[in-house]
Amino acid sequence: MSDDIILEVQGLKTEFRAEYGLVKAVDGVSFELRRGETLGVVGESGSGKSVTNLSILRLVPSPPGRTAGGKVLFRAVAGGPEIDLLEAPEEEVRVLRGKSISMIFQDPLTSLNPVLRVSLQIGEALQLHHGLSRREARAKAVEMLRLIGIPDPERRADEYPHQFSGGMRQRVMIAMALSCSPDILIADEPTTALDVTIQAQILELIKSLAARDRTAVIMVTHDLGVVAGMCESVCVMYAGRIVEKALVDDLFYDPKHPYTRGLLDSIPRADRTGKDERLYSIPGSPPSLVGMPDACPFHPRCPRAMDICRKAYPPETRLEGLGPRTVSCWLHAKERA
Amino acid sequence: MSDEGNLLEVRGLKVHFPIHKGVLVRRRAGFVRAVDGVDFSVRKGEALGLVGESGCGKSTTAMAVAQLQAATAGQVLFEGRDLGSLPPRELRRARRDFQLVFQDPYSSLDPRMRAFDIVAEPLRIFARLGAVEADEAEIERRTLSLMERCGLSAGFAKRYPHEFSGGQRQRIGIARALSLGPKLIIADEPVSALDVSIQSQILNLLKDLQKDFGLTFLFIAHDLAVIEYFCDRIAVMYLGRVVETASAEELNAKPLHPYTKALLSAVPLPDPRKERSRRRVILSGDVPSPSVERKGCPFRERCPEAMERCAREAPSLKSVGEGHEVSCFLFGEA
Amino acid sequence: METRALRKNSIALTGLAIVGFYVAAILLSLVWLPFDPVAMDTEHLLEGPSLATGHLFGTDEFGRDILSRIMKGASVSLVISICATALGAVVGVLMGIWAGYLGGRWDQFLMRIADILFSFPSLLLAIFVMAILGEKTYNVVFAIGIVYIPQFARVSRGAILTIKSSEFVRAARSNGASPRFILFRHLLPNILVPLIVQVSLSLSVAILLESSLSFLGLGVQPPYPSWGNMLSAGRKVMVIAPWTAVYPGLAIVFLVLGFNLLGDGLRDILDPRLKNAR
Repeated sequence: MSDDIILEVQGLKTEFRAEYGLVKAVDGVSFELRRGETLGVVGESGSGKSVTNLSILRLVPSPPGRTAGGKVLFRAVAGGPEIDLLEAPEEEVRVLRGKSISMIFQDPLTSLNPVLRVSLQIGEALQLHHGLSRREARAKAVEMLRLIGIPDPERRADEYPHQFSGGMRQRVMIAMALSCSPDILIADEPTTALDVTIQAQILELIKSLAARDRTAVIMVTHDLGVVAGMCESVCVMYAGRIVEKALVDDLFYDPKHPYTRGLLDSIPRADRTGKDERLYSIPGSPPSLVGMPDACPFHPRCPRAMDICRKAYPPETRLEGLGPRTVSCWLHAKERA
Repeated sequence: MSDEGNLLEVRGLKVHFPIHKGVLVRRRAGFVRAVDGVDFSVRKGEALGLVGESGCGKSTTAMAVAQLQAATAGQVLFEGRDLGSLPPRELRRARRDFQLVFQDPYSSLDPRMRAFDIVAEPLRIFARLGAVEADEAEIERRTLSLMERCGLSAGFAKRYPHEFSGGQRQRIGIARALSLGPKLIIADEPVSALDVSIQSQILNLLKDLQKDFGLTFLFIAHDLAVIEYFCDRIAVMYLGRVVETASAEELNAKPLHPYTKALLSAVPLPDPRKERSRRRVILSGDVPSPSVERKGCPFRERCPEAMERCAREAPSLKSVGEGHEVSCFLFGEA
Repeated sequence: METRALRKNSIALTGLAIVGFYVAAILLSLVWLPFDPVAMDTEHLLEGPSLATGHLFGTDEFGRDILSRIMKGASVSLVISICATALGAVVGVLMGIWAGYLGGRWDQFLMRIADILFSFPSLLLAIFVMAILGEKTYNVVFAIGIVYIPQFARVSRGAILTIKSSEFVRAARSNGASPRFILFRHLLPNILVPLIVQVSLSLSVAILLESSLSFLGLGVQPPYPSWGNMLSAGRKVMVIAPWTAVYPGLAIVFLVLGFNLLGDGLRDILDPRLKNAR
């Protein structure tokens, strides 16, 4: 694992047992995250993007889910040892959660404890991981609130989550997540539920705090616009697998996978108002993740599907680009099975 | 007098919800001014978009226009007639000309009814009222053909809502809205609850139907990109008022109101180079609550260009050019 | 789809089996009874159960066959409970759905009536009604029915309130539907689930209420058998002839159990089914 890579996911598989069968939510996902890099994970509902992140931190509720394979290698210090988060003992992983790898979720209302004061919740991670006293932790919490733009932080630190608006709660979540200056921040659709002007504030905040501490960020979203503004590299997920990985400019200006291309062509854009243009739309709907055959999961909706797409899952192929890029598509596969 | 070309005219619309405090004796403790003086008009055949963030009152406006929410003040003129002053029976009959498409495909369909019955219901109700001449066979013919037109083949007719995907349910809702042959469609966030790859299918469908049936749209959404794509003209709302109205091209090219500028600059574009090079207007503070009483311009607390006058008086919509209106002291006010 | 689930749910099945057994016994009693329930057999007074005499559950102090009386009493009890529950349900649901849908003054008015009825302990209320109407058997139906009105009113009002603001209701309004149409075509079918459960639970309580009234001498009058008046009569001789009270008592217990299990099982089956969206 090269030195500037802080997290490497190899062949991650997570499945859920449902009453109608086995759901392969994540079916062989591999990617690398560099220090200080912001990586976007894009996909629609059912693509597996959220489950991937929960799996990294071993937060998948089990039962009914379980991680069925793969490795998640984390190297905290450049040149230092790497550990497999999936194999490591629970205590080690618990120490890392919140300290080295933090996560923020979509719905700040349910992620914050409604009966605890905000200062306590922000300070909790500090007390646990850095051994700060109650008072020291509160002071740090107030400082963080000020940093994230909450007015009158001294007073507001003692308030409860319901006294904050949605945007502010999300900022509190970010403050909690970044209070220990983690190495990696995983943001799972952090702004989907927020108004667009608040979203802009939150994304700016994440950007500036991450830059300050050189935190690597995994940004999970379905919004390609957010990806374009925040991320350096992108993974596109479909039906539990990554179908394309590239640097952001490569992905947006020269998409290789038909799904990526379809997505980009089908979103209406605020800066393009062609009145009689029809949006491209990908026909059909995302597949059920139960009992998937060994074929490309996108082929029923793909305008360029070939015979082989029905028969086998395409291998991951390296391509030329501005940076490292891969695509899983028979159109680009160098060797045919 | 209303302009002849306008299918819909809204004047001075207000919807205030009283806030009650106290348990034993309930006193009125103020109002939530969800809609606080809204004016706009929609010409026949055009699509007007109402856009804004949470609390701006766009959904309440839509419900008030659709006569599903009582208005506290103002007029809703449909083809020149004030809908609010119609007696209940006449209003019910008038409803056939304006129908709704709802946001949530999961709760806008009766879970206990089959798809066919859901789409046929408006026709059946009106046939029973005697307002439409159609027997059951005719209703069946019209309903099936409408469902087909909306992408639902006859085989789906007997299924229940929970057997359909979100996109298909929305199609059922759209077919239902069209069953009476309305002139105006009020679409309340019709694609917000759908996946990205399904959104474009539904938007295309709506566009095709608009062309085929000569429909007029009042389109409500919070997603500016969707509104810019679908609508001819756009009205931007903030805290219960319209702050700017213009054609989609004009609004995009020359936004005037500081809120419109902030809104446009906050929308993330799927274009990395543009994103890197753009200068964002980041507003401070939160989207405010409509229950607090305000003096002056509702936007002044967050406005980067607020002046002293803005705290004293509230501006009103003034025309600044071809169909372009702004409610701001920076423009068009003496 | 639902019958398959019914088969899988053993609670509901057990309940159904028990109730079914009673229904079968009742149907049988219409054409055949081991003995005439009011016939007095003076040669076999207060005899214990025995195969020899043919009195499988023994006889009471008048020589009447207990088993036949239980079977006859079953039909009386069940018919009364069903009629009373139906009365309470129809009136209560109508009250509840109008109160829930209209809200405001109607809601206040209707629910205050329900509250007044509800504040009486059920048995006292039933006794009160019987005292006013007289001790005829059919008055028991009214008495119990009135006790049930507030229960059904509450359950249906609550259910209406939860779905009243659903978007499909708004859609129906926008399609020109009148309030009555919406209430009966859209809202009522969607609140059937809690109502069905309430009905099966009410049936079980109705049995108990009827038995209590008869026990107190207010319901079915002798010599006609009712489980309640059999218990009352049996109480006096229970020490020397326990079968006169035990068997009617067990009959009550098992039927009530059956309805309760059925109601619980139905609740389990019907509720998650409705939430089973794609």
